[in-house]
Amino acid sequence: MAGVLKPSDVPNPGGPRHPGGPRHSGGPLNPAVVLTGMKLAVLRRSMSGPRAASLIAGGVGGVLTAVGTALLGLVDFPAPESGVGTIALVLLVWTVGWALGPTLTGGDPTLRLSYFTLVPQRPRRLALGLLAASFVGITPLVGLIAFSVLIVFGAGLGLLPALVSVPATLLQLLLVVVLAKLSLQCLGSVARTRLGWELSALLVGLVCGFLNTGWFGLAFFFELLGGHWAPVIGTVVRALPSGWSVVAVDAARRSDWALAGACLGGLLALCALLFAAWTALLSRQLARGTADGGRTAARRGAARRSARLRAVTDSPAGAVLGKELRLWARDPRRARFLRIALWSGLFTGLLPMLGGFSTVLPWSGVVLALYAGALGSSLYGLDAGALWLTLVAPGAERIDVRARQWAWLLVVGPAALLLTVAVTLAVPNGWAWPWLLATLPAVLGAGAGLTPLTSLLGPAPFPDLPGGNPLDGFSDESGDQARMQSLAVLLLQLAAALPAAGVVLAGTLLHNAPLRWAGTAVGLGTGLLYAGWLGRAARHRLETRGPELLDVMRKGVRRGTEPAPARSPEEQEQQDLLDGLSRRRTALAGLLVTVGMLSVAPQGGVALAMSLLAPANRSWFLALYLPPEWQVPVAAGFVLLGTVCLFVVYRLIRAKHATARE
Amino acid sequence: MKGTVAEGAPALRLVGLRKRFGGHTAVDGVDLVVPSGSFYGLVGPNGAGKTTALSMAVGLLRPDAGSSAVFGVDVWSDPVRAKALVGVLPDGMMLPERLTGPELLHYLGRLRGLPSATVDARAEELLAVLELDEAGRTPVIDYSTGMRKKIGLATALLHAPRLLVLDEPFEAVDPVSAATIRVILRRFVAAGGSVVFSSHVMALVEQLCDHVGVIAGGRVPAAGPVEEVRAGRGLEEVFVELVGGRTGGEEGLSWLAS
Repeated sequence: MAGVLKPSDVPNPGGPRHPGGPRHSGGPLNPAVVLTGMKLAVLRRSMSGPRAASLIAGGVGGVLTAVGTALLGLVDFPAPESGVGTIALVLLVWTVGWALGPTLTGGDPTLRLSYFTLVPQRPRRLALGLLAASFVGITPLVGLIAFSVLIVFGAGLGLLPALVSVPATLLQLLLVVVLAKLSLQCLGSVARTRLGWELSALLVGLVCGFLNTGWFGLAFFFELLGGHWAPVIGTVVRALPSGWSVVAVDAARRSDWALAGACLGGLLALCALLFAAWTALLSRQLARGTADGGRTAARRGAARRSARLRAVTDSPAGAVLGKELRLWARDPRRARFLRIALWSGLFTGLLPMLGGFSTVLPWSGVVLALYAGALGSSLYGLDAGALWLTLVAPGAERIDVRARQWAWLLVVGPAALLLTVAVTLAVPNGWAWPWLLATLPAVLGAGAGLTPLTSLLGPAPFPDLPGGNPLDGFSDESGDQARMQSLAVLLLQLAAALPAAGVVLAGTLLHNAPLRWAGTAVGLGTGLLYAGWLGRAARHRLETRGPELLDVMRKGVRRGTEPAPARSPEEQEQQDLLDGLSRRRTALAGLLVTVGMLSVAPQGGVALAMSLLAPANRSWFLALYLPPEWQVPVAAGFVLLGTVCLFVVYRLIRAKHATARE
Repeated sequence: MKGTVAEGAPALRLVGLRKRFGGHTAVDGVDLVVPSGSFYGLVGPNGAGKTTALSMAVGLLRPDAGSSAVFGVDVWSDPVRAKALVGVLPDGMMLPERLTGPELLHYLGRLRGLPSATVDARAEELLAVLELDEAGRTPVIDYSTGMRKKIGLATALLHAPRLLVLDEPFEAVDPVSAATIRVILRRFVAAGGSVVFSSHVMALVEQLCDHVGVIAGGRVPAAGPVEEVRAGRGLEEVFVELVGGRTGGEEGLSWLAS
């Protein structure tokens, strides 16, 4: 047979064996170079659409924080020692942030380990390559800017500390990068076990809670730092590895070269140790592959529960409801969302108690409902391409949407109510009940309506794949879109509670008890209205755009296609121009969303409330640092500024859709 | 069988179907008539537009132009009636992964309005015939590729449709299961049902089908009864001639066995 290749057929066996392949300059290619190049290529390709907006929004926020940290080095500390303590504390916060960050964002989506399981490389070389690639991107740049606080601080101390600060900065960056890699790998492995999975959800809830209301507890931490605990904490933050770099810089000032050397050497050794641990975990996963990772043996008792469920739900709508309830219980992603919502609610209420502030506690249940709505904003995306089953069944759209709404309500409602009752019993807050009973039904109703609607307006597919790291999920374009939608649902749910809350506020201001309790009726009424009306909109969307939605669900956010008319070369050129414009427009939209959100919510709304309720707790609310008569106008100004920003974004999106239609 | 349909209408009629993705025309004016009671094979090379055409035919992908009618009922203007008549097995389908096979069938049957007892009886029979009854408590996410194909076929058959539209039903299925599926489909046609399925295995189409349509480059260069299309020659030969292909693989790759 002529088609069989024999060695003798190969021309010029002594010559280069890979004429068209990658050039080798002797010896195997360095994976660090290859993987860094690969990551750059992926990043270049992903700089468009929601991905770019999200990257830019995150990048701008990160760089601003990092510059703030770096400027800390210029502060005129009363003594170098107090500067060392402060910087060591800030470095600790950054390090913890790097270690926990991946649990929220899902780590690096561009270079997944599963791509390399078949590459014949030793795990250590592969790990080196992956590590090198992690220095590419916005996050390491943010880290570098933040850690240059060491250089700024060292330069103020003298020439020798400045010299020492350079390797100290680089080692600090290396430490956090390796730590982030290790923590993601650990959490990934741990998340396979039931306990680890629950713990990681608790951790995310703690971080969310801290971001929400942690600042009320900051007073507690500051007291801790300033009080008689201060020396102990100063020692601890210096002794922890995150503080070694700044201790080395300070030791150089005192010409204590033994200590400086020990600190830098210790950092290097620690990095090597963490790297070795990460490599070990990596090689374990490489050896195991991804095939066995997601085995989901049917649980015992499932059959009995199924029989009971079936008896309750024997109708077409009941069948979908039964399916949804089973998925909420069995699908680890959905179960994780519910746990995160629970812990976020609880910690949002509990953390301010550290500062002796119990006003937020009764709201834990409402926060739970808000988070369950926000995390459910990708409800349809969780089933991804399985949407076809609804589309091929005649007239199933209405049943499907309604049953999903009921399932969400049945899962979230009782939990939110129970949590509300529990925290209110634990710390009685009589004033809170009218507020809670008014807002909770409104928020729940809005959540039940918004979860199907947003997930159909901007479908963000997140297919349920066997194996793999459960934290990988939301780290691609779909994830960016889902995160933006989560934020939108959160804010819309808050807005939905305003009418009911307004009635309670009026009742409180007028000292009119019946009016105060009328808020409950308004909350229930508006809640029902939201659920019904938004659910109908979702059904309409599914009925009219089903095939287009399925296309996005199957192919992903970036590859989903609208029908494109035939174009002449000139038209194509024009379209390319528009694409370029829209890329810039997307970046602008990302920036405006960030500024808008920050202005409306914390710097506007919350600052306004704080200036009326607790003006002493200034935290990071700019308005509260002004004279009292200026606080309300400035906070209101922030609300206005944010609203304008968000309105501009809305106009940008409308304009883009209009061009797309033409 | 259910549904009021036009007497004598073909099981499936596609008229002038077109679909563009960006600058690429995937389906470029496909006309196809699947007579009632026929076993119809749609053959074509990779990327010929088979999946796109079938997705548009059953209402899973909106065409840019053209129409699709099932027993005379337009899929896009009267979807509820049309969908009741068809059973669909899409290519590379996703499913609610955490349900077990029986649960999936129960949920789908009830969603289509079948009585509970009927659904359960049919599901049990289907699972037994397709040899999925052993995996009764395994969630779909843990199924093998062949098992997924079979549970997909079960979902398409469950409501006793009049027309089955199956995209690559034999791909990744082991020979024993493939034989089972062939028997089921033959029985379905013998009882008056119609089947359209896509494949790129000519021998299979020659062996099973009474009608064949060749699709290439988004068009249908030949369609009709198998005997007519192949006109005394082998189907494979006709296919290669129609598609204008040539057997590649002779050039380059000199380094492969060095």
